Amino acid sequence: MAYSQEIAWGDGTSDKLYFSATASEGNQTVSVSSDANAGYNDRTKVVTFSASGVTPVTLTVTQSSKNIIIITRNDTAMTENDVAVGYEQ
Amino acid sequence: MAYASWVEPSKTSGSGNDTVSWSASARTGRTARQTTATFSASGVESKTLTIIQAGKAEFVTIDATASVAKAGGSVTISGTTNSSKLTFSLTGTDNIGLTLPSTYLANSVSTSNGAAITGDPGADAEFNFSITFTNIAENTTISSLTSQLTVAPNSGTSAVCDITQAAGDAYLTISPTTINIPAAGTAQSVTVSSNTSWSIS
Repeated sequence: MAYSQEIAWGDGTSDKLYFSATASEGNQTVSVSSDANAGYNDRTKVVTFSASGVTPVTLTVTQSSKNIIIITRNDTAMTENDVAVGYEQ
Repeated sequence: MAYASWVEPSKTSGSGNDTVSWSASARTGRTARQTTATFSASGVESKTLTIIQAGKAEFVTIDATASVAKAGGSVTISGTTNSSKLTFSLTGTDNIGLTLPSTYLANSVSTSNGAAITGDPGADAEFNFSITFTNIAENTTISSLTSQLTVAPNSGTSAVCDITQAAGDAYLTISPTTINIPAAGTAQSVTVSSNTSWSIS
């Protein structure tokens, strides 16, 4: 039976992580996707894989923030910058 | 009175008319045995008594069950028989994945499966036998595994041993343990290795 699971990011948004696999038993490849991160900060969630009789294992999921476009103050040129927020001096 | 040690009379002397009872130790060999007892008295001709004990029907018994550790290894299964030949086989579904040995020990002598047993010791008495399975693999499942060994005598009824291997330990690993999802939320893959049911929370 196909397996799917949704887990909220818990970062103040309603965004979720989505897990899916062919089954939740034995060896599987799990697909992990997310709602788009519309914020300007990366976010991280630790999820736990559990099974009876074994020590749980954790998966750390980090989602990058959206790209930022920075515009020069005098508006004579427009520069795209993916790593900083603000206006060029 | 000269007679074999396997018989015993209720009395060895007497006078006048009398009744003598004879008992015998159990016969476990397939063939009959015979001995003669002589009754003697002074002044008269001796009389002989022939005593015949029938052989025991051909048979084979074997351990009803045998256990294999979850880590695998070996297991020895023993039995008793008076047959002249034993043939072993794996019957039913062999979940453990055993390899049938080509030889076994019959009366402490290595004997090929299905071959006539050297000296046919079962003709005179029952004897022990054993067969050892080696190189049994570890049970990597969380369920116990079963196989069935059947031993057939040269004639007569076969005997069965149910072999059980203990359940293995559950395991769960994932790879990688850290993933980065692009801002758009594009799916990434995680490989789960396990022998049981698991969940994500």
